[in-house]
Amino acid sequence: MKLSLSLVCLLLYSCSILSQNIERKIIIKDNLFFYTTIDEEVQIGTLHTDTISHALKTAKRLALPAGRSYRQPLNPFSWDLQNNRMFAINFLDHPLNNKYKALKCFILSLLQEWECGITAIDMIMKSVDQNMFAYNEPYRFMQHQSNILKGFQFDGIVLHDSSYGMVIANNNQLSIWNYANDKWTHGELQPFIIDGFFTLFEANNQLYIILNNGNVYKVSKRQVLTIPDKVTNRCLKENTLILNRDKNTVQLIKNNDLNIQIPFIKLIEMKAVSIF
Amino acid sequence: MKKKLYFLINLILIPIATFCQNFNYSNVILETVTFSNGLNIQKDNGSGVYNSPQWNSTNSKQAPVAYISGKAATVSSTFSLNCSNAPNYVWIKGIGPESIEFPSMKITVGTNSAHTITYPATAGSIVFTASVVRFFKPFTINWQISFDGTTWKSAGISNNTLYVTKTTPQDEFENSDANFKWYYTVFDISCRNADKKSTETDIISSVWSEFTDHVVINWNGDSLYYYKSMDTPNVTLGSLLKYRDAECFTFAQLFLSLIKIQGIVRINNYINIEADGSSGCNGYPIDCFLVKNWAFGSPSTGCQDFPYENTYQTLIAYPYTSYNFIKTDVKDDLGIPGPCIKNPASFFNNHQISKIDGVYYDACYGVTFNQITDIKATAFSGWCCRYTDNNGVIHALFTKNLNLADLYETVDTY
Repeated sequence: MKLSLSLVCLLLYSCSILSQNIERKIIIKDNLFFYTTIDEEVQIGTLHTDTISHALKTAKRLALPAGRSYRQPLNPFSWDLQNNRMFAINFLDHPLNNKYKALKCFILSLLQEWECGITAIDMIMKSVDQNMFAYNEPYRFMQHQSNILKGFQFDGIVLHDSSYGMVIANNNQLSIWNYANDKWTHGELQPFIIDGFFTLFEANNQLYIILNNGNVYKVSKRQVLTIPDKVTNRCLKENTLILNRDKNTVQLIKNNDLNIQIPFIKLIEMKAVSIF
Repeated sequence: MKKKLYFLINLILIPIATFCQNFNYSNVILETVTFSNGLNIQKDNGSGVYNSPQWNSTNSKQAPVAYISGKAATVSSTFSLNCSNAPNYVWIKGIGPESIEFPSMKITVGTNSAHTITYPATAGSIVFTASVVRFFKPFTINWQISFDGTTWKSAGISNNTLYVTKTTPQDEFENSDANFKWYYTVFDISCRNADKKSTETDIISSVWSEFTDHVVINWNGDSLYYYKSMDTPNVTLGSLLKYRDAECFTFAQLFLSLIKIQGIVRINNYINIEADGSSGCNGYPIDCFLVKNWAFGSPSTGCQDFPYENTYQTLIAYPYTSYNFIKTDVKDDLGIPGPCIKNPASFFNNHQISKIDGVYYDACYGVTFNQITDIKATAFSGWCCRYTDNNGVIHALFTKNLNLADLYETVDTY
């Protein structure tokens, strides 16, 4: 009896969690939620979206012409939304994927559902030949500081002034980049201990970086402040950011609490903790 | 007289009735063999590790086994006795290869209907020589049984593939299928090629020999292809072993895995090479190269340095064995073969190779280079720059002047 009860519980639990990890964050915009996942074998991305009154599992699955590698150390898929556009850094491993041309921008309404007969290979080939919105100068700069990758991490997002911000790190040095008016500007290399991946987000028009240890730092145009602005005590690997752009809030939710059966708006009320 | 006859009959029958009335050596069946204190081996299909018992009379294929050198194989086994009246105890021993013995043990026979006999986990009489790689295919154990500890009869034979690594393999990435794991085929190729080798240099050179003849086979003798299908999406060691068809990333990873499984450590060993970003045509940077051989036809572009052009929308179409160009100034010819394939994909932005002790190893083509500049000179037909027009047509502009760019390497540790 006890065994069958345990099995039922296990079954219910397995049905209520996602089979693939959410990449970095969930964005709420116009009462819709958006999150991305990456196929475990072929590295290509999917954008999931639905209204926040629905559960995560009911989301529409849109095929992305972008993805990321599964190699260690893991750098989750870097993506963002602005108006009707999606920005992504296409860092999947493919012999035709030029990582200097990895910065991509897609029109959301042109993305198609996987169910329409699209194959992963179609999307991979599309991803490698899709034009970039900007040359990946931060990557080239970092590579030319040292061609030995160690703790190589990056993330890029669209900022409130519509410019594109990127932080890139290697060998415990990071640099901050901004792309506006078809031009990159950047700060000097800054020594900074990076253990695992980090994620960028904006709150109140200020750019922040949250490290894997949960510490949140302000990011200026030139440097990351060395004193944490907030200490969340939440390991980024075990949590997902919720960026509510309708309410201008930033929250964290434990990955284990991401029940895909519960309406997302209720899930946030029940489980998410606020940072901003 | 009657009494004497009765006594004589009893004399004959009683010992049989009290010992094992219907016991016969041929009634002994080897049921299972379990190897313990060894290394976990991952299945190539990604479904987890092989469990014990590694040998089972009901299996058509038996599981592999691996040990670190300097240790002895530790083995237990079970038998059943097909007789209604079994003895109370028997002696069991096993005789392995190279004079390895699993010593005689006096074992109580089970009182269940199968009269199960369990030979306990016992270390072999000889440890595998420290630091020496070994490959036993098969590791055969002749199991023997005796009633009296003196007269021995066969009790069955078990065969398992057994690998011995030089030292403890490097750690797996437990939570990722994308990276190094202790796969069956990794043990197999590594120990098969490096059998009886002990120095790091000898082991590295031996495992490299798997790639030099362009025939790379898994534990089962199946070919591991380099672009059997030119649109293969497989870029991880796990997917190469699962699907047996993959891209360059995986062959570099496979070669390094064969070294890592022996516990040999080399950092900065995984090299990504790509064009150095030199200017191509009309402001487009050089971002692709052609691996031999490509035939250059008549120039058709106005660009002086990049006079040849191919265009495409779907670069690789059914049956996925050749390129599907719309316009073709430059044609893919037979050139440098890859693992198990005569003419693999050869139009790349990047390529992955390995670097060990200053030597570049290209496992996709089974060749080594002393300097990165040698690669361009030896293996390339030309450079290319690409752009996509507003109609979604990709234009690839080519040059056969190899002096227009060089390769740039990015170094990582696998």
